[in-house]
Amino acid sequence: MNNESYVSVELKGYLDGLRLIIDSDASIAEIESAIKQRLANLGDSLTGTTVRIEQQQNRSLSPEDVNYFYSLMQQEYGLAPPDSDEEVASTPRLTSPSNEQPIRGIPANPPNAPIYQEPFSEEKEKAEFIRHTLRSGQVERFLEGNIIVIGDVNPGAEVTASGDIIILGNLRGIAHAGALGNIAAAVVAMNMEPTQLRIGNIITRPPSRKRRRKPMMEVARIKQGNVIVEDFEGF
Amino acid sequence: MGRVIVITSGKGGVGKSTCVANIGTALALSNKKVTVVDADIGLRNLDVIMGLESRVVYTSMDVIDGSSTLERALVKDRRVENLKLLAASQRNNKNDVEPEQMRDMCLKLKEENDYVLVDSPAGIEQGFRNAASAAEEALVVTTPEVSAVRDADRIIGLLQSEEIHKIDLIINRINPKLVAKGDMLDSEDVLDILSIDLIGVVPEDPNIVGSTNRGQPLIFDSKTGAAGAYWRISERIEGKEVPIPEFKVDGAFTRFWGKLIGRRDGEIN
Repeated sequence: MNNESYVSVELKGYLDGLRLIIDSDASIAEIESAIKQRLANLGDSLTGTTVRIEQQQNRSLSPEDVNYFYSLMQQEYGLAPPDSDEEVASTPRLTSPSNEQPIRGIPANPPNAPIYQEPFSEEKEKAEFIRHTLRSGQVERFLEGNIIVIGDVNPGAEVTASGDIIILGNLRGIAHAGALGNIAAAVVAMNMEPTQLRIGNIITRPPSRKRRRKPMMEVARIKQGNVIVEDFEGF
Repeated sequence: MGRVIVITSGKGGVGKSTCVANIGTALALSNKKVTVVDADIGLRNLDVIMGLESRVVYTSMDVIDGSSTLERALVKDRRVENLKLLAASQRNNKNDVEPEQMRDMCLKLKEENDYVLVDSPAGIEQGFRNAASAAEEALVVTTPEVSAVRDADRIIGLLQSEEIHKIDLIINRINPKLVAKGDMLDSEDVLDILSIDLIGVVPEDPNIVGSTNRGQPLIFDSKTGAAGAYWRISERIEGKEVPIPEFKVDGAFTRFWGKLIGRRDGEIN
Protein backbone atom coordinates (compact mmCIF):
# COMPACT_ATOMS: atom_id res chain seq x y z
CA MET A 1 0.00 0.00 0.00
CA ASN A 2 1.43 3.32 -1.02
CA ASN A 3 0.69 5.94 1.59
CA GLU A 4 2.64 8.74 -0.02
CA SER A 5 0.48 11.62 -1.02
CA TYR A 6 0.74 13.16 -4.43
CA VAL A 7 1.67 16.81 -4.90
CA SER A 8 2.11 18.53 -8.21
CA VAL A 9 2.59 22.29 -8.43
CA GLU A 10 3.16 23.70 -11.85
CA LEU A 11 3.81 27.30 -12.82
CA LYS A 12 2.73 28.24 -16.32
CA GLY A 13 2.87 31.54 -18.13
CA TYR A 14 -0.21 32.76 -19.98
CA LEU A 15 -0.88 36.03 -21.70
CA ASP A 16 -2.92 37.32 -18.78
CA GLY A 17 -0.32 36.37 -16.20
CA LEU A 18 0.89 33.27 -14.48
CA ARG A 19 -1.11 30.31 -13.35
CA LEU A 20 -0.14 28.05 -10.53
CA ILE A 21 -1.72 24.71 -11.23
CA ILE A 22 -2.14 22.59 -8.15
CA ASP A 23 -2.92 18.91 -8.44
CA SER A 24 -2.72 17.17 -5.14
CA ASP A 25 -4.38 15.02 -2.58
CA ALA A 26 -1.93 16.04 0.11
CA SER A 27 -2.39 18.24 3.15
CA ILE A 28 -2.30 22.03 3.02
CA ALA A 29 1.13 22.07 4.67
CA GLU A 30 2.53 19.76 2.01
CA ILE A 31 1.07 21.85 -0.79
CA GLU A 32 2.48 24.97 0.87
CA SER A 33 5.97 23.54 0.97
CA ALA A 34 5.62 22.43 -2.65
CA ILE A 35 4.62 25.97 -3.65
CA LYS A 36 7.52 27.42 -1.73
CA GLN A 37 9.89 24.98 -3.36
CA ARG A 38 8.57 25.89 -6.78
CA LEU A 39 8.87 29.64 -6.21
CA ALA A 40 11.99 29.70 -4.07
CA ASN A 41 14.64 30.23 -6.71
CA LEU A 42 12.69 32.58 -8.94
CA GLY A 43 14.14 35.54 -7.09
CA ASP A 44 12.79 38.92 -8.06
CA SER A 45 12.16 38.07 -11.66
CA LEU A 46 8.42 37.73 -11.28
CA THR A 47 7.81 40.50 -8.78
CA GLY A 48 4.56 42.26 -9.60
CA THR A 49 3.28 39.58 -11.93
CA THR A 50 -0.28 38.40 -11.49
CA VAL A 51 -0.67 34.79 -10.57
CA ARG A 52 -3.88 32.81 -10.50
CA ILE A 53 -4.32 29.54 -8.67
CA GLU A 54 -5.97 26.75 -10.61
CA GLN A 55 -6.83 23.32 -9.40
CA GLN A 56 -7.15 20.01 -11.07
CA GLN A 57 -10.47 18.28 -10.59
CA ASN A 58 -9.43 15.62 -8.11
CA ARG A 59 -9.01 18.01 -5.22
CA SER A 60 -10.69 21.23 -4.40
CA LEU A 61 -9.12 23.59 -1.91
CA SER A 62 -11.36 25.66 0.27
CA PRO A 63 -11.57 29.40 -0.60
CA GLU A 64 -9.76 30.11 2.70
CA ASP A 65 -6.87 27.90 1.66
CA VAL A 66 -6.68 29.54 -1.75
CA ASN A 67 -6.69 32.99 -0.16
CA TYR A 68 -3.99 31.88 2.23
CA PHE A 69 -1.81 30.82 -0.70
CA TYR A 70 -2.48 34.12 -2.47
CA SER A 71 -1.36 36.11 0.55
CA LEU A 72 1.65 33.84 0.99
CA MET A 73 2.73 34.40 -2.60
CA GLN A 74 2.18 38.12 -2.35
CA GLN A 75 4.12 38.57 0.85
CA GLU A 76 7.01 36.25 0.18
CA TYR A 77 7.47 36.54 -3.56
CA GLY A 78 5.72 39.77 -4.56
CA LEU A 79 3.25 37.96 -6.82
CA ALA A 80 -0.04 39.80 -7.11
CA PRO A 81 -3.34 37.95 -6.81
CA PRO A 82 -5.81 38.25 -9.70
CA ASP A 83 -8.32 41.07 -9.66
CA SER A 84 -11.43 39.04 -9.08
CA ASP A 85 -12.62 35.53 -9.66
CA GLU A 86 -13.60 36.22 -13.21
CA GLU A 87 -13.94 33.39 -15.67
CA VAL A 88 -10.57 31.99 -16.65
CA ALA A 89 -10.15 30.83 -20.18
CA SER A 90 -8.91 27.27 -20.28
CA THR A 91 -6.61 27.92 -23.22
CA PRO A 92 -4.08 30.70 -23.52
CA ARG A 93 -5.15 33.70 -25.51
CA LEU A 94 -2.85 34.13 -28.44
CA THR A 95 -3.91 37.61 -29.51
CA SER A 96 -3.26 40.66 -27.45
CA PRO A 97 -6.18 42.80 -26.35
CA SER A 98 -7.36 45.27 -28.96
CA ASN A 99 -7.13 48.30 -26.73
CA GLU A 100 -3.42 47.83 -26.27
CA GLN A 101 -1.28 50.93 -26.50
CA PRO A 102 1.97 50.79 -28.41
CA ILE A 103 4.59 49.85 -25.88
CA ARG A 104 8.30 50.44 -26.16
CA GLY A 105 9.80 47.39 -24.55
CA ILE A 106 8.33 44.10 -23.53
CA PRO A 107 5.39 43.95 -21.17
CA ALA A 108 6.25 41.71 -18.22
CA ASN A 109 2.58 40.87 -18.07
CA PRO A 110 -0.15 42.22 -20.29
CA PRO A 111 -1.09 45.90 -20.13
CA ASN A 112 -4.62 45.16 -19.02
CA ALA A 113 -3.46 43.12 -16.06
CA PRO A 114 -5.17 44.18 -12.86
CA ILE A 115 -3.44 47.05 -11.15
CA TYR A 116 -2.60 46.41 -7.57
CA GLN A 117 -3.96 49.07 -5.26
CA GLU A 118 -1.38 50.62 -3.02
CA PRO A 119 -2.20 49.72 0.57
CA PHE A 120 -1.10 53.05 2.04
CA SER A 121 -2.63 56.49 1.92
CA GLU A 122 -1.16 59.25 -0.17
CA GLU A 123 -0.28 61.56 2.69
CA LYS A 124 2.17 59.29 4.47
CA GLU A 125 4.14 56.85 2.41
CA LYS A 126 6.81 54.57 3.66
CA ALA A 127 10.29 54.80 2.24
CA GLU A 128 13.42 52.80 2.71
CA PHE A 129 16.69 54.70 2.81
CA ILE A 130 19.84 53.16 1.46
CA ARG A 131 22.80 55.23 2.47
CA HIS A 132 25.48 53.63 0.38
CA THR A 133 26.30 52.72 -3.19
CA LEU A 134 24.73 49.51 -4.42
CA ARG A 135 27.45 47.51 -6.11
CA SER A 136 27.27 44.72 -8.63
CA GLY A 137 25.35 41.76 -7.19
CA GLN A 138 23.66 43.76 -4.44
CA VAL A 139 19.87 43.78 -4.47
CA GLU A 140 17.52 46.02 -2.50
CA ARG A 141 13.84 45.28 -2.44
CA PHE A 142 11.09 47.14 -0.63
CA LEU A 143 7.49 46.24 -1.40
CA GLU A 144 5.81 48.56 1.07
CA GLY A 145 6.62 51.88 -0.53
CA ASN A 146 9.45 53.90 -1.99
CA ILE A 147 13.21 53.51 -2.02
CA ILE A 148 15.68 56.34 -1.75
CA VAL A 149 19.29 55.53 -2.53
CA ILE A 150 21.91 57.97 -1.38
CA GLY A 151 24.69 56.76 -3.64
CA ASP A 152 24.98 55.03 -6.98
CA VAL A 153 23.28 51.95 -8.34
CA ASN A 154 26.09 50.30 -10.26
CA PRO A 155 25.79 47.93 -13.22
CA GLY A 156 24.76 44.53 -11.92
CA ALA A 157 22.88 45.96 -8.92
CA GLU A 158 19.08 46.00 -8.63
CA VAL A 159 16.57 48.16 -6.76
CA THR A 160 12.94 47.13 -6.57
CA ALA A 161 10.17 49.10 -4.88
CA SER A 162 6.41 48.94 -4.95
CA GLY A 163 6.40 52.74 -5.14
CA ASP A 164 8.86 55.25 -6.54
CA ILE A 165 12.62 54.93 -6.66
CA ILE A 166 14.77 57.97 -6.11
CA ILE A 167 18.49 57.67 -6.68
CA LEU A 168 20.68 60.50 -5.49
CA GLY A 169 23.55 59.34 -7.66
CA ASN A 170 24.12 57.45 -10.88
CA LEU A 171 21.64 54.82 -11.96
CA ARG A 172 23.58 52.29 -14.02
CA GLY A 173 21.99 49.04 -12.90
CA ILE A 174 18.37 47.90 -12.91
CA ALA A 175 15.55 49.81 -11.24
CA HIS A 176 12.04 48.44 -10.92
CA ALA A 177 9.47 50.92 -9.63
CA GLY A 178 5.85 50.04 -9.03
CA ALA A 179 6.87 46.44 -8.70
CA LEU A 180 3.44 45.31 -7.56
CA GLY A 181 1.87 46.74 -10.67
CA ASN A 182 1.62 50.46 -9.89
CA ILE A 183 2.14 51.97 -13.34
CA ALA A 184 2.02 55.48 -11.90
CA ALA A 185 5.37 54.88 -10.19
CA ALA A 186 8.46 56.75 -11.29
CA VAL A 187 12.22 56.38 -11.21
CA VAL A 188 14.22 59.50 -10.51
CA ALA A 189 18.01 59.61 -10.77
CA MET A 190 20.68 62.28 -10.79
CA ASN A 191 22.21 60.54 -13.78
CA MET A 192 20.03 58.14 -15.71
CA GLU A 193 22.09 55.47 -17.48
CA PRO A 194 20.27 52.27 -16.49
CA THR A 195 20.98 48.80 -17.83
CA GLN A 196 17.24 48.28 -17.72
CA LEU A 197 14.25 50.16 -16.38
CA ARG A 198 11.09 48.47 -15.20
CA ILE A 199 7.98 50.34 -14.21
CA GLY A 200 4.91 48.39 -13.21
CA ASN A 201 4.79 45.61 -15.71
CA ILE A 202 6.77 47.29 -18.47
CA ILE A 203 10.42 46.49 -19.08
CA THR A 204 12.53 48.81 -21.19
CA ARG A 205 16.14 49.28 -21.95
CA PRO A 206 17.78 52.51 -22.96
CA PRO A 207 18.68 53.11 -26.59
CA SER A 208 21.98 51.41 -27.35
CA ARG A 209 23.51 54.68 -28.49
CA LYS A 210 25.59 55.88 -25.61
CA ARG A 211 24.75 59.34 -24.36
CA ARG A 212 27.61 61.46 -23.22
CA ARG A 213 26.26 64.61 -21.78
CA LYS A 214 26.24 66.51 -18.58
CA PRO A 215 24.46 64.40 -15.98
CA MET A 216 21.22 65.95 -14.85
CA MET A 217 18.34 64.84 -12.71
CA GLU A 218 15.83 62.94 -14.78
CA VAL A 219 12.60 61.09 -14.18
CA ALA A 220 11.32 57.99 -15.95
CA ARG A 221 7.63 57.18 -15.92
CA ILE A 222 4.95 55.66 -18.08
CA LYS A 223 3.15 58.03 -20.39
CA GLN A 224 0.64 56.57 -22.82
CA GLY A 225 2.10 53.15 -22.52
CA ASN A 226 5.68 54.25 -23.11
CA VAL A 227 8.41 54.72 -20.59
CA ILE A 228 9.47 58.33 -21.07
CA VAL A 229 12.62 59.85 -19.58
CA GLU A 230 12.56 63.60 -19.14
CA ASP A 231 14.12 66.33 -17.04
CA PHE A 232 12.92 66.16 -13.48
CA GLU A 233 10.83 69.10 -12.40
CA GLY A 234 9.13 67.66 -9.34
CA PHE A 235 6.40 65.07 -9.09
CA MET B 1 52.29 44.73 14.86
CA GLY B 2 52.01 44.86 11.11
CA ARG B 3 49.28 45.35 8.57
CA VAL B 4 47.46 42.50 6.85
CA ILE B 5 46.47 43.50 3.32
CA VAL B 6 44.54 41.25 0.95
CA ILE B 7 45.11 41.74 -2.79
CA THR B 8 42.03 40.68 -4.70
CA SER B 9 40.13 41.32 -7.93
CA GLY B 10 37.20 39.02 -8.58
CA LYS B 11 38.21 38.42 -12.16
CA GLY B 12 41.23 36.25 -12.88
CA GLY B 13 44.25 37.24 -14.91
CA VAL B 14 44.26 40.92 -14.06
CA GLY B 15 47.66 40.77 -12.35
CA LYS B 16 47.03 40.15 -8.65
CA SER B 17 50.03 37.88 -8.08
CA THR B 18 52.32 40.14 -10.10
CA CYS B 19 51.19 43.05 -7.93
CA VAL B 20 51.82 41.07 -4.74
CA ALA B 21 55.29 39.98 -5.88
CA ASN B 22 56.36 43.46 -6.93
CA ILE B 23 54.78 45.46 -4.13
CA GLY B 24 56.00 42.94 -1.55
CA THR B 25 59.52 43.13 -2.94
CA ALA B 26 59.40 46.94 -3.07
CA LEU B 27 58.34 47.14 0.57
CA ALA B 28 61.10 44.71 1.56
CA LEU B 29 63.65 46.72 -0.42
CA SER B 30 62.66 49.73 1.70
CA ASN B 31 63.65 47.73 4.78
CA LYS B 32 60.22 46.58 5.85
CA LYS B 33 59.59 43.07 7.09
CA VAL B 34 57.23 41.50 4.60
CA THR B 35 55.59 38.09 4.26
CA VAL B 36 53.58 37.33 1.15
CA VAL B 37 50.95 34.62 1.52
CA ASP B 38 49.64 32.67 -1.46
CA ALA B 39 45.99 31.95 -0.68
CA ASP B 40 45.33 30.38 -4.07
CA ILE B 41 45.31 26.83 -2.76
CA GLY B 42 45.34 24.25 -5.53
CA LEU B 43 46.46 26.76 -8.17
CA ARG B 44 49.52 28.25 -6.59
CA ASN B 45 51.75 30.50 -8.62
CA LEU B 46 53.05 33.28 -6.42
CA ASP B 47 56.12 31.12 -5.72
CA VAL B 48 56.72 30.80 -9.47
CA ILE B 49 56.39 34.51 -10.14
CA MET B 50 58.80 35.23 -7.30
CA GLY B 51 61.23 32.57 -8.49
CA LEU B 52 60.99 30.61 -5.23
CA GLU B 53 59.25 27.50 -6.53
CA SER B 54 62.23 25.18 -6.16
CA ARG B 55 62.71 26.16 -2.54
CA VAL B 56 59.21 25.48 -1.27
CA VAL B 57 59.25 22.56 1.17
CA TYR B 58 56.22 23.15 3.36
CA THR B 59 53.02 24.95 2.56
CA SER B 60 50.28 26.65 4.55
CA MET B 61 48.40 23.33 4.43
CA ASP B 62 51.25 21.64 6.32
CA VAL B 63 51.08 24.38 8.93
CA ILE B 64 47.33 23.89 9.31
CA ASP B 65 47.52 20.11 9.69
CA GLY B 66 50.47 20.40 12.05
CA SER B 67 53.19 18.74 9.96
CA SER B 68 55.25 21.91 9.95
CA THR B 69 55.64 24.96 12.12
CA LEU B 70 54.77 28.30 10.59
CA GLU B 71 58.36 29.44 10.99
CA ARG B 72 59.70 26.47 9.04
CA ALA B 73 57.18 26.82 6.20
CA LEU B 74 58.28 30.36 5.35
CA VAL B 75 60.60 30.57 2.34
CA LYS B 76 63.19 33.32 2.59
CA ASP B 77 63.90 35.34 -0.51
CA ARG B 78 67.68 35.39 -0.99
CA ARG B 79 67.73 38.56 -3.10
CA VAL B 80 66.33 40.82 -0.43
CA GLU B 81 66.34 40.68 3.30
CA ASN B 82 63.09 40.53 5.25
CA LEU B 83 61.00 39.08 2.42
CA LYS B 84 59.35 35.72 3.00
CA LEU B 85 56.79 33.63 1.20
CA LEU B 86 54.19 31.27 2.60
CA ALA B 87 53.33 29.03 -0.33
CA ALA B 88 50.00 27.40 -1.04
CA SER B 89 49.53 23.68 -1.33
CA GLN B 90 49.05 22.46 -4.85
CA ARG B 91 47.59 19.11 -3.77
CA ASN B 92 44.60 20.45 -1.88
CA ASN B 93 41.81 22.78 -2.79
CA LYS B 94 40.29 25.89 -1.36
CA ASN B 95 37.63 24.10 0.65
CA ASP B 96 40.27 22.28 2.69
CA VAL B 97 41.00 25.48 4.59
CA GLU B 98 38.63 27.33 6.91
CA PRO B 99 38.69 31.11 7.19
CA GLU B 100 39.53 30.77 10.91
CA GLN B 101 42.67 28.73 10.15
CA MET B 102 43.79 31.30 7.61
CA ARG B 103 43.11 34.11 10.05
CA ASP B 104 45.09 32.44 12.82
CA MET B 105 48.09 32.08 10.53
CA CYS B 106 47.94 35.66 9.31
CA LEU B 107 47.55 37.00 12.83
CA LYS B 108 50.73 35.16 13.85
CA LEU B 109 52.55 36.52 10.80
CA LYS B 110 51.26 39.99 11.56
CA GLU B 111 53.07 39.99 14.90
CA GLU B 112 56.45 39.50 13.28
CA ASN B 113 56.07 41.54 10.12
CA ASP B 114 55.42 45.08 9.02
CA TYR B 115 53.32 43.84 6.14
CA VAL B 116 51.48 40.60 5.41
CA LEU B 117 50.26 40.61 1.80
CA VAL B 118 47.66 37.95 1.05
CA ASP B 119 47.32 36.98 -2.62
CA SER B 120 43.66 36.09 -3.07
CA PRO B 121 42.45 33.65 -5.71
CA ALA B 122 40.03 34.87 -8.37
CA GLY B 123 36.37 34.37 -7.67
CA ILE B 124 34.03 35.12 -4.80
CA GLU B 125 33.88 31.69 -3.20
CA GLN B 126 35.60 30.19 -0.19
CA GLY B 127 39.09 30.91 -1.52
CA PHE B 128 38.30 34.61 -1.55
CA ARG B 129 36.69 34.43 1.88
CA ASN B 130 39.73 32.65 3.29
CA ALA B 131 42.03 35.30 1.88
CA ALA B 132 39.88 38.18 3.14
CA SER B 133 39.26 36.67 6.57
CA ALA B 134 42.40 38.01 8.21
CA ALA B 135 42.74 41.29 6.38
CA GLU B 136 41.95 44.72 7.69
CA GLU B 137 42.77 46.38 4.39
CA ALA B 138 42.37 45.46 0.77
CA LEU B 139 43.94 46.36 -2.54
CA VAL B 140 41.53 45.70 -5.38
CA VAL B 141 43.24 45.15 -8.72
CA THR B 142 41.38 45.76 -11.95
CA THR B 143 42.29 46.24 -15.58
CA PRO B 144 40.54 48.95 -17.57
CA GLU B 145 38.02 46.53 -19.05
CA VAL B 146 34.31 46.58 -18.41
CA SER B 147 34.19 42.95 -17.27
CA ALA B 148 37.08 43.37 -14.82
CA VAL B 149 35.55 46.57 -13.44
CA ARG B 150 32.22 44.83 -12.96
CA ASP B 151 33.88 42.04 -10.98
CA ALA B 152 35.92 44.53 -8.97
CA ASP B 153 32.67 46.29 -8.05
CA ARG B 154 31.21 43.00 -6.85
CA ILE B 155 34.34 42.27 -4.81
CA ILE B 156 34.28 45.71 -3.20
CA GLY B 157 30.71 45.05 -2.07
CA LEU B 158 31.76 41.71 -0.60
CA LEU B 159 34.80 43.22 1.15
CA GLN B 160 32.57 45.85 2.70
CA SER B 161 30.21 43.17 3.96
CA GLU B 162 33.26 41.44 5.49
CA GLU B 163 33.82 44.68 7.40
CA ILE B 164 36.90 45.69 5.44
CA HIS B 165 36.57 49.40 4.88
CA LYS B 166 40.02 50.52 3.85
CA ILE B 167 39.91 49.51 0.20
CA ASP B 168 42.25 51.00 -2.38
CA LEU B 169 42.23 50.50 -6.10
CA ILE B 170 45.05 49.56 -8.46
CA ILE B 171 44.31 49.97 -12.14
CA ASN B 172 46.65 47.58 -13.89
CA ARG B 173 47.80 47.38 -17.50
CA ILE B 174 46.55 50.70 -18.76
CA ASN B 175 47.58 51.28 -22.35
CA PRO B 176 47.84 55.00 -23.13
CA LYS B 177 47.57 54.46 -26.86
CA LEU B 178 44.33 52.55 -26.54
CA VAL B 179 42.98 55.13 -24.12
CA ALA B 180 43.87 57.90 -26.57
CA LYS B 181 42.07 56.07 -29.34
CA GLY B 182 39.02 55.85 -27.11
CA ASP B 183 39.12 52.04 -27.13
CA MET B 184 40.10 51.63 -23.49
CA LEU B 185 38.52 52.97 -20.33
CA ASP B 186 40.71 55.56 -18.65
CA SER B 187 41.20 55.77 -14.88
CA GLU B 188 38.44 58.34 -14.61
CA ASP B 189 35.89 55.98 -16.17
CA VAL B 190 36.93 53.22 -13.78
CA LEU B 191 36.82 55.47 -10.71
CA ASP B 192 33.44 56.82 -11.76
CA ILE B 193 31.96 53.35 -11.30
CA LEU B 194 34.01 52.05 -8.38
CA SER B 195 34.28 55.29 -6.39
CA ILE B 196 37.03 54.12 -4.02
CA ASP B 197 40.48 55.59 -3.44
CA LEU B 198 42.98 55.10 -6.23
CA ILE B 199 46.39 54.02 -4.98
CA GLY B 200 48.10 53.46 -8.31
CA VAL B 201 47.91 53.16 -12.06
CA VAL B 202 50.24 50.61 -13.65
CA PRO B 203 50.96 51.01 -17.36
CA GLU B 204 51.03 48.00 -19.62
CA ASP B 205 54.67 46.96 -19.84
CA PRO B 206 56.02 44.20 -22.11
CA ASN B 207 58.86 43.56 -19.63
CA ILE B 208 56.39 42.10 -17.12
CA VAL B 209 55.93 38.93 -19.17
CA GLY B 210 59.61 38.08 -19.16
CA SER B 211 60.10 38.93 -15.51
CA THR B 212 57.16 36.74 -14.54
CA ASN B 213 58.45 33.82 -16.57
CA ARG B 214 61.98 34.19 -15.16
CA GLY B 215 60.68 34.46 -11.62
CA GLN B 216 62.41 37.77 -11.09
CA PRO B 217 59.99 40.54 -10.07
CA LEU B 218 60.52 43.47 -12.41
CA ILE B 219 61.15 45.79 -9.51
CA PHE B 220 64.63 44.29 -8.98
CA ASP B 221 65.78 45.44 -12.41
CA SER B 222 63.88 48.52 -13.32
CA LYS B 223 62.63 51.79 -11.94
CA THR B 224 60.46 52.81 -14.87
CA GLY B 225 57.28 51.65 -16.54
CA ALA B 226 55.32 49.12 -14.51
CA ALA B 227 58.13 48.75 -11.97
CA GLY B 228 58.07 52.50 -11.34
CA ALA B 229 54.33 52.33 -10.75
CA TYR B 230 54.77 49.47 -8.26
CA TRP B 231 57.43 51.50 -6.44
CA ARG B 232 55.09 54.44 -6.11
CA ILE B 233 52.27 52.16 -4.90
CA SER B 234 54.55 50.76 -2.19
CA GLU B 235 55.43 54.29 -1.12
CA ARG B 236 51.76 55.25 -0.99
CA ILE B 237 51.04 52.15 1.12
CA GLU B 238 53.65 53.51 3.52
CA GLY B 239 51.69 56.71 3.71
CA LYS B 240 53.90 58.92 1.55
CA GLU B 241 52.29 61.48 -0.70
CA VAL B 242 53.37 60.48 -4.18
CA PRO B 243 51.44 61.93 -7.11
CA ILE B 244 49.96 59.53 -9.63
CA PRO B 245 51.38 60.43 -13.04
CA GLU B 246 49.00 60.49 -15.96
CA PHE B 247 49.90 58.00 -18.63
CA LYS B 248 49.06 59.54 -21.94
CA VAL B 249 50.35 59.58 -25.46
CA ASP B 250 51.35 63.20 -25.84
CA GLY B 251 48.93 65.96 -25.13
CA ALA B 252 45.35 66.79 -25.92
CA PHE B 253 46.03 67.51 -29.56
CA THR B 254 47.20 63.99 -30.38
CA ARG B 255 44.43 62.65 -28.21
CA PHE B 256 41.95 64.46 -30.42
CA TRP B 257 43.59 63.33 -33.65
CA GLY B 258 44.21 59.90 -32.23
CA LYS B 259 40.51 59.51 -31.76
CA LEU B 260 39.81 60.77 -35.25
CA ILE B 261 42.32 58.78 -37.25
CA GLY B 262 43.18 56.02 -34.81
CA ARG B 263 46.86 56.86 -34.84
CA ARG B 264 49.21 54.25 -33.56
CA ASP B 265 52.49 56.06 -32.93
CA GLY B 266 53.34 58.29 -29.97
CA GLU B 267 55.50 57.74 -26.95
CA ILE B 268 54.60 56.95 -23.41
CA ASN B 269 55.64 59.77 -21.10
